[in-house]
Amino acid sequence: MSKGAPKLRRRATLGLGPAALLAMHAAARLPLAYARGEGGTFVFGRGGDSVKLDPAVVTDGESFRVTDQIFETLVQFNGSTTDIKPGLARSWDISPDGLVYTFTLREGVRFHDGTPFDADAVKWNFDRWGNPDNPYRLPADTFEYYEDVAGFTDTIAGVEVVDPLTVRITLSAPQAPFLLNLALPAFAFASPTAMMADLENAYKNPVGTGPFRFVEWVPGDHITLDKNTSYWGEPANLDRVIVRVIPDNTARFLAVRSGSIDMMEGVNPEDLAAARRDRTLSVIFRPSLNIGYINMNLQMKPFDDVRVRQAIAAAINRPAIVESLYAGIGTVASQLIPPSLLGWNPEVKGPQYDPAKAKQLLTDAGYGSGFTTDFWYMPVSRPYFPNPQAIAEAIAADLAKVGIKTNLKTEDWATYLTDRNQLKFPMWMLGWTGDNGDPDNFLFTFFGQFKPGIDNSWDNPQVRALLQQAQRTADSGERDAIYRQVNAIIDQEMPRIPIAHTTPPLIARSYVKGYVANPTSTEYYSSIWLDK
Amino acid sequence: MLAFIARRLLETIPVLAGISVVVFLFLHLIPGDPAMTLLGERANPQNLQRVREQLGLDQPLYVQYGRYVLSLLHGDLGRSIRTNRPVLEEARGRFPATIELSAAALLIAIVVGAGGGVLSASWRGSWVDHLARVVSLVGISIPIFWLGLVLIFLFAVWLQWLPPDGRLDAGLRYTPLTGFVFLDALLLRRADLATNGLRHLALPALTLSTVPMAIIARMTRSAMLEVLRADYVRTARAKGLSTWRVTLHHALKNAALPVVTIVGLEVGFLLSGAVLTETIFSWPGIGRWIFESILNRDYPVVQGMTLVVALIFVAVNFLVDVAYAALDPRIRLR
Repeated sequence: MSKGAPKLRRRATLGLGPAALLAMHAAARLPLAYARGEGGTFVFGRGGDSVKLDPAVVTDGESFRVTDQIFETLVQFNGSTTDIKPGLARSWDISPDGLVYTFTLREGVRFHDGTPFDADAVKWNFDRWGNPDNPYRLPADTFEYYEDVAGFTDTIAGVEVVDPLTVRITLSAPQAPFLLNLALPAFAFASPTAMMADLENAYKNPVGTGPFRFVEWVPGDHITLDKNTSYWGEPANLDRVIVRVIPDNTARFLAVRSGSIDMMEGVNPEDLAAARRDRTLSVIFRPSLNIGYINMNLQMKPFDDVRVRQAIAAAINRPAIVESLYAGIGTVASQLIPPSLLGWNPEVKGPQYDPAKAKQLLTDAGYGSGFTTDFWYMPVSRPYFPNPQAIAEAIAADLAKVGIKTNLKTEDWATYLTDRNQLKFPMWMLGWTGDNGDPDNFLFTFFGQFKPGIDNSWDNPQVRALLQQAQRTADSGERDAIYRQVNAIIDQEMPRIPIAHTTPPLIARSYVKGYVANPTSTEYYSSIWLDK
Repeated sequence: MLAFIARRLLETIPVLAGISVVVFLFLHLIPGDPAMTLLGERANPQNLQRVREQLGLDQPLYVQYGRYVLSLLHGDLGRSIRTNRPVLEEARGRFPATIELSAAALLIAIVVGAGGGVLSASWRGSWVDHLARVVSLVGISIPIFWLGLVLIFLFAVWLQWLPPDGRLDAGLRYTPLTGFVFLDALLLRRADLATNGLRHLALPALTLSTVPMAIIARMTRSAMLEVLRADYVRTARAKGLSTWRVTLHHALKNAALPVVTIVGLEVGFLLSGAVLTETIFSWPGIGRWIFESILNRDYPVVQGMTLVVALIFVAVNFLVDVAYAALDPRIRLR
């Protein structure tokens, strides 16, 4: 919004003395901005509150967004890639059989409560995460990332203290993405002293080693962090960080436009265009690590016939949908993993838009006159499907042109997730956001197991065996070959139809500099500075 | 009077018991559970089972309900499954925000609504009346969501006169004493808290007041019209009393009865949380919290807060009845 003369004129026409109005306006504007200190206060707006500030026991991104600033891991993702760089461990050795990892820790690192970070602290944390009999676990604590996402329960055999600055982790079987998993936000280290002193309240009194320390948490409203002046590394530029909850996407967008927050995530596609045009704002894209796809129940007719699945894939005009409904943040996906991942197969082109071919395939399969099916879409916007209803409608229109009539349906999100696990839907939209940048995190999750209770209806023992083999190999060349083969098989059999990858957008005031977006969403505010 | 109170209190118990059973059953019978919402897309049978065991959700329903009632009798509403904070503690943190917002909205609604209604009735058929009736219709019809966003855009983005959301500036250092911003401002002698709080309260209170304002206006108007036609009003005027004394002292008092009923209902609705307003303005009250808890299947929060809200309605109803008795001596004799 332009300032100065035009505004004055508008208000003068209200009939009140322009001088009085000027004075009023000036007075009103003074305390509007949040108290910004010398190095600056950075205010981030998000759609929901953190659940707990104990990274080991949570799975939601809003908790990690804050804990990523307070706690640190042994290794970290480098910049905007999923390459690994030293974190609290300054170097490491891996035994030739891939079973023993020896980490050398940085010297002189302290937790925010002054206690030392050392090998004992590392071992204490690992034991808390992995040992069900550990006394420092609350009854309601679930260690989802340790047990399931990283699979450490089945993989880590032992953690030993070699000396105060050396830790040895022994695995029971090689895990190729082990270092990637260690970089996950859940494996950040908390001060054992603080936790032992008050376990009950540890989730709201986080004590880590990071560049920011915890100040206060007003539930449902905001969390305040201050710069850690005794940080072991390069101190943060910012003096203070405030992470605020603004549930409605439009309200949050208005807040960043008004300047009452400096940055936000979760913008409506319609607002993205306005953000791009606004010179006071900049749009930052998070590199893609997701996939949106259409899943089918292969145990229901007609989806058991590969020709029908290929026909559906060929009938959908994915380029047009991505062009018009993704507000510029989508790229058509050729396969189920994004191009930046190991095992992405450049030979796999993905389904090509060809309605004539679709009709031919349907005729070959005996459905020359088409068929009718329910088609389910989610009621909430997901990073991989920013506008599910509109996208579903576009897909339905495309399918209708080849004779496939779809009844569009949706239901509450929790119910949707339950129902798809029970394979209640014949055809539905869903997707996945990667955790650690490894293809296993996508493909094994989709097709690695075939049993009741998960949404995999594709019984392909060959693919399952390949995926298991790739899990156990440490050699990245070998894994690359295996995953390429798997992606080629998926392209032929089309058990799920890839639609698009997206680069989730973040909107910031243009004076916000130095924000580094990472595909895993693990992003550090220590690099941010405010140019004003 | 004492017997009246005692009887009403006793009647509350079966009401609350019934509500708790119904809510419990509904929650547990709808698809999806807290484990599912915690795990999201990554839910599979193994981790669902593990999380359910940890949360005690794998027990048979009657066991879960039994445990719940037992803790209720100890005054323990349980802990939020999502955040592990005691439900009562979370409620205590959020209630003051809802109370302040509701009080402000109600104040605006009563003053403008009843005032408008009285003026409308007093000058029936005039431009004042027409204007008031149109505004009232608009007030009921306008979508709160849209109105809220428009107000934010107008006052926060364009004019930059008011903050767009929240209850206080996040940079303001404030350790709550009572949780009520204005009370704390008084107790802590901090004028900045009060002014900041007022600036944040303005838009959401205005937005939230529109529907109750419209309803109160219409109700006041029709009640006043009826009363102004009555014989005793004509008598009062004939006796030479000024129009204002007649209107306010005699007519309004009698017209107040149906209006008080409406206000009572509105208080109940407002206190149970204005989900839309709280969402648009990021107001940390109970409405949005309960709504999100339903979506997250956070059983203890929904169960506990439904009982609390029921209690509120019962209490407000009771107060309305007492107000009746105060306003109309004829009722007292019963």
